[in-house]
Amino acid sequence: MPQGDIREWLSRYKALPETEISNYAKTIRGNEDLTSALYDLLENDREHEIIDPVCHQLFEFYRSRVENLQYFTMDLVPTLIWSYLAAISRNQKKAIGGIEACLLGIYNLEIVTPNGKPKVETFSFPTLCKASIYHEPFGLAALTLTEAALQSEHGEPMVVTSSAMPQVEHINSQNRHSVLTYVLSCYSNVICALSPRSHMTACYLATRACRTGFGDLDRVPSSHSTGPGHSDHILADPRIKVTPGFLVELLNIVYYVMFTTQPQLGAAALDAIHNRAAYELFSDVMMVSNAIKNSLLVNPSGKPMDGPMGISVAVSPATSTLSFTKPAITNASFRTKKLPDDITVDDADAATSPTISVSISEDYPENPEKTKSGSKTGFKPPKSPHRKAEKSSKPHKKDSAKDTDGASPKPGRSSLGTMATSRQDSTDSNTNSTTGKMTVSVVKGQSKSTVDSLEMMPMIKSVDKKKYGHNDDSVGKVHAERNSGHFSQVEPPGVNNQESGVCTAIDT
Amino acid sequence: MAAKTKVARLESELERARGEANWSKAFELATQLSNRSPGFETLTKFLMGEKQLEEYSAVSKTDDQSIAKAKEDLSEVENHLKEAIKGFHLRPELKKEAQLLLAKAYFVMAEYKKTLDCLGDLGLDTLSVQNVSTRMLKIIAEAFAIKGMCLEKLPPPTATTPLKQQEHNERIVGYYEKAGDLAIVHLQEMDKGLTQAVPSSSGSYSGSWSSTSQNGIGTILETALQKSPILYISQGKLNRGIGAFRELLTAVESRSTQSMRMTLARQLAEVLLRGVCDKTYMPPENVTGRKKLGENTLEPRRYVGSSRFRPQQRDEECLLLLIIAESLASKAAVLERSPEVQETKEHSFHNACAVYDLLTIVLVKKMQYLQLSQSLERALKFSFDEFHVWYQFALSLICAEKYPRALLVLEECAKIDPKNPLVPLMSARLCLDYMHTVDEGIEHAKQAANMGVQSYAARGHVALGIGYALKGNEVKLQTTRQELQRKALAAFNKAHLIDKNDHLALFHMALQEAILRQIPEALKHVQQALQLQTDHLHSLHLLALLLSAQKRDEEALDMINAALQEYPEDFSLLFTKSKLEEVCGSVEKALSTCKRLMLLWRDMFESTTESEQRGTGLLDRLTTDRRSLAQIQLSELSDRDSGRGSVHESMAASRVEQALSEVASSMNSSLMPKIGLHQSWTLQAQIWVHLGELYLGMDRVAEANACVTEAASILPMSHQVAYMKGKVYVHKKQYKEAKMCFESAISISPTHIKSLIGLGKLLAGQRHYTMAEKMLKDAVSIDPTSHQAWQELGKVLEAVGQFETASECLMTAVNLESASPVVPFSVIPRTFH
Repeated sequence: MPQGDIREWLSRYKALPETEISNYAKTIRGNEDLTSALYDLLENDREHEIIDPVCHQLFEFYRSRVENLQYFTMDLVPTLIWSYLAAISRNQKKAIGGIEACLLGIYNLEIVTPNGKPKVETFSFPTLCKASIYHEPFGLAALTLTEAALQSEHGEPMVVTSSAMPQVEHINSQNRHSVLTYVLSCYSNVICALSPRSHMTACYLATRACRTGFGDLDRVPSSHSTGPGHSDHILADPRIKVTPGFLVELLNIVYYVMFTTQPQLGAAALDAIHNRAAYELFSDVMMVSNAIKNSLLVNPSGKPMDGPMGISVAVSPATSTLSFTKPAITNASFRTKKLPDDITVDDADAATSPTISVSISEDYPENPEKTKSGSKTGFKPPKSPHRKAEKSSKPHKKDSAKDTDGASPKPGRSSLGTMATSRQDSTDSNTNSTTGKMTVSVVKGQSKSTVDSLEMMPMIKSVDKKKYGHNDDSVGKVHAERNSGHFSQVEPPGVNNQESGVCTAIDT
Repeated sequence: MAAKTKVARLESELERARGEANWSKAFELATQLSNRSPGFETLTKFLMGEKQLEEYSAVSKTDDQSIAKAKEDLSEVENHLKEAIKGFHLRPELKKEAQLLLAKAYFVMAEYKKTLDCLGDLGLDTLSVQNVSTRMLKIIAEAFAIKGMCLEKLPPPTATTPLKQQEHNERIVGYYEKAGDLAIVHLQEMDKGLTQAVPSSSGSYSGSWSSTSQNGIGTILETALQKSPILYISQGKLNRGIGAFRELLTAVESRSTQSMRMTLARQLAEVLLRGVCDKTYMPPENVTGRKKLGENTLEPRRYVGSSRFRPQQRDEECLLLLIIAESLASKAAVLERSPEVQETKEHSFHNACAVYDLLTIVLVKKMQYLQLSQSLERALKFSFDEFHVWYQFALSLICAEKYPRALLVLEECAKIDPKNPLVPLMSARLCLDYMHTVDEGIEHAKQAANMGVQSYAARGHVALGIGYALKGNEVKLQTTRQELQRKALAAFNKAHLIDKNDHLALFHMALQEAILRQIPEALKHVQQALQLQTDHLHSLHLLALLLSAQKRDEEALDMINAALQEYPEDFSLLFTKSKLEEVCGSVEKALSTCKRLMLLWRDMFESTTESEQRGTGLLDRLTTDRRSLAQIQLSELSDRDSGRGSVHESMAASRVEQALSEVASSMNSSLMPKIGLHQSWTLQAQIWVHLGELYLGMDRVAEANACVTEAASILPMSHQVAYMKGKVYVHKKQYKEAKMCFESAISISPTHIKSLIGLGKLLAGQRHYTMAEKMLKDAVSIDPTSHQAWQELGKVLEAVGQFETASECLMTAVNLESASPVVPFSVIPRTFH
């Protein structure tokens, strides 16, 4: 009689002297009969009168802070949560007072440190800019120059301190899921120490919480079994309310479980969560489930069956083709290069020029010969007298801009065309003076040999702010700042609307 | 003499070519040498063998077929090398190398026994690696790797005890570790050579693209490097495996190890995520020159120093590894789209994807959506037409609350995969819930509804209904509005038919029916909705309002109180409760509810609004005062025009999430909008307006005036505050001021119905009947269910002698009043949750 085990367990622990607790704790988890009886009781017989004392004792175990006793309770947490949610969804709140009290008790214990202070966690977000035990900051300097990259450029790792969780006196609809989510996260924190059977119940919890009440919908190809004893009345049951946080926590648990003890059940649970998240349009949960599903589909990350934790030796593909051909263009192919010294950089312009977005794209089918001819001429800066004249005559900006356009060998294409063609690439730069956008495209024609490399000069800080907006050189200039990631600002011909400027990175 | 230096030069050049794995050049040089002096013939043979072997093994695979083929193809190599070993004129180091290469040849031929014998003859285990050439270093590294692999491939020594077996395993791992160390040292040396050879200032096309770096370090070493941690883990020694990963990763990076490094970083992150929990995690220790170096080992240079970032938690380490892997993976991703590189492109893309997927798992757990969206944005560059990456990017933008951009990205997703019903559904939700672009939302919803996947079609119809209903509120023309309301109802019905278990469809259906004053149907449906989800906040609220529409105010109050048991911090419920209490005749209770509202506001927002002080702080004084507020009246809770009702709804609902959102560990924000500073102040002003109305109803003008003044100091430009001011003036019979107030309320919000009615009434009182009629007709057309508007209109028409029309109006008013809730149904928001 399984309940005999439970009753004995109830009475034995109460009578146990303090001194024997540690010994008792060591053996209790190994008591198969008892644990089976408990799983069975909590799962199938949640209105039994013995439930309340059982839950009370489970909480006593947890409160003892004896590690193994805590694990004993934790093992049962998914089952407790499932029984609780199922009862709530059927509006049987009275029946599960004991379970609720136990879960709430665990929550209230876990939100404080053993000496009663609210638990506060700190987490440092590593950045590439700070050297770590695994990398050197400059070897990997941020690929693209984004606002965020700049912000974190100077920074130490960002440290986030979590605020303390509020003490909860009783559970209501408003706080129910945050309490359960927190208890699940505690489960997840000790998941390695918990039994495979408990992992299994966690999968059942996920599957059933997500699938119950969805039986009439054709969305899920039900190739997986969804746990014991509920498939026949799946229609009769109301759906179980879930929140995004709850599902994300479940996904983390399922991810662990499917790579350790329960590959099939884990996969089924993952599908269930994924479908439910899609149904509820929970974008954060969907992101995680998409990520996991995708990583299972595409091999590099391995599947649960691929050896320990899905990890196996990943060897780069045989490189036979590569050794005979040129390497393919990658982000790493774009590298900075110093400009020839004969370029003079106007201080004011360097800093006040409208910054223009430069994007590099491939497959740009514009005439390569044009730029090729440009390459031969080499890059000449505009004569300074000319420029001075322009500055003094602001109203004629546009006209003078046109003049210079005419003077330069390739209007609107000179700067970048030159730079890139020095590397034998056919490059096409395309200026749109109304929006201030400039595109540099690598054209891969017959000679798609190497890659373009943008030549760059150290950017010189301006001193003369008054000149802002007066710059309208027809020939673009490229500046680069070297010490903090590499980027270039390209000033296109005839653009005088500095408002439209955007600075985008050129990958190095 | 000259000839001798020439020979020496050739020899050193030869050595360099071999180090750089430039076999053809090495062979050429050897031929040149042997032309000069006949003593170099053996060398030529040796190099011939080396060249063939290396070129062969670079492309060979390990399946049975290729092994059989290798046996044929490599017999020549075997002969060359054997001759080289026997030959007289070879330097002893080269002989060793030849022997090791011979072992490698046997290995490629899958002659594991021979390989081991060959290596045993040489005494590999005791071979010195100090001061050897880079080529020799690599050969030795490979030899160790090969030895490990052979031992793994061959059956373990018979009659093993578990202990013996373990020793055997340890030996294998030991060889791999040694091979790994040497390989890394080799690569680090190569790098040093490279930077010396090519001055970095020249910058251009440096040697980094030479065949070695591009091809990596060869399959054998690559395998060996990854093997040692994996072996530990498969033997159940998780911590030693993690340690082995860490050892490899703390070695100073060299150019040619980047792809290895990416793999290792990703794998370690995987191991940590899949096999370690916070409880069992042990942070990396400070590595400071681990073991003593023997003659036959070399230690790679490592990243050391105390100023370096050292992760302390599992997720910190995962994140660090993943951002490193991400930067390497996105660098290595192939951008080119020509067919020749298709295979490489796919491989690099999948590698990068694997990293991004792991990054998603960790960053969502930590709720760093912005960072995630930035990372995924970088991935777009090499993800043309890749649905997964684009979709993930869109989702990350939604989580980061960048809705307009998310919508654009979703459009792109729809182009890539036009058959996916989730994409238009997501777009529809964005439009309707967050961006208030109703027409666009309706279009997306139509698409989603017509895609034929049942469950999504159901939700698509819900979205469509919400869209029509929202649009119905906006249009002015009565017929169009009725048409839209009809369509909305039909859409909800359809949704319910497809998906009978969906409480949302039922709830929205009930809400729509309530607005159309089909109270009994609404009641039925909202009760069904509550059966499906017993604690759906909006359904509970709607049920209470429906009861009050049937003039069962006491029951409604009980209902609200029950709902407040479940959602004690919901402002909207409390407002309704206060109003109900007033209607039920217990103003005292209404006032105490009002105080509860204030206390709640203080608890929730005091800390967040500290940065900006508005008002006179009356709320502080009131809430710290222990006497009860002896009065007020309910203002309207929301404006149908501005959708403000949804503001405090979602605010209260998201309260828990908001309070917990900083808890990085466990909580994930739902999609509820965060409450801005301005919104929280608006809420306080609303409480004051409400209180003012209560006071006014109790004829306590001074208090009402104080409330209005306070509200005005918090929110000077609010039509609700202006309206309330007007009401106070009306009460004081200062009609001129009152009129001005109503007028300013209407100019702030032309559709504010209460102000229109107030102004109409005022004008009628002053016998400006034409103007009054205009105002009231406006009011009626804005909200045809407002019985006050009909009533006043009837009175005005009566006054101007249009008795028939007047009586119609009054009849309408009576009918409407009999089904009118205590606060408008429109306080309940139309959202997806």
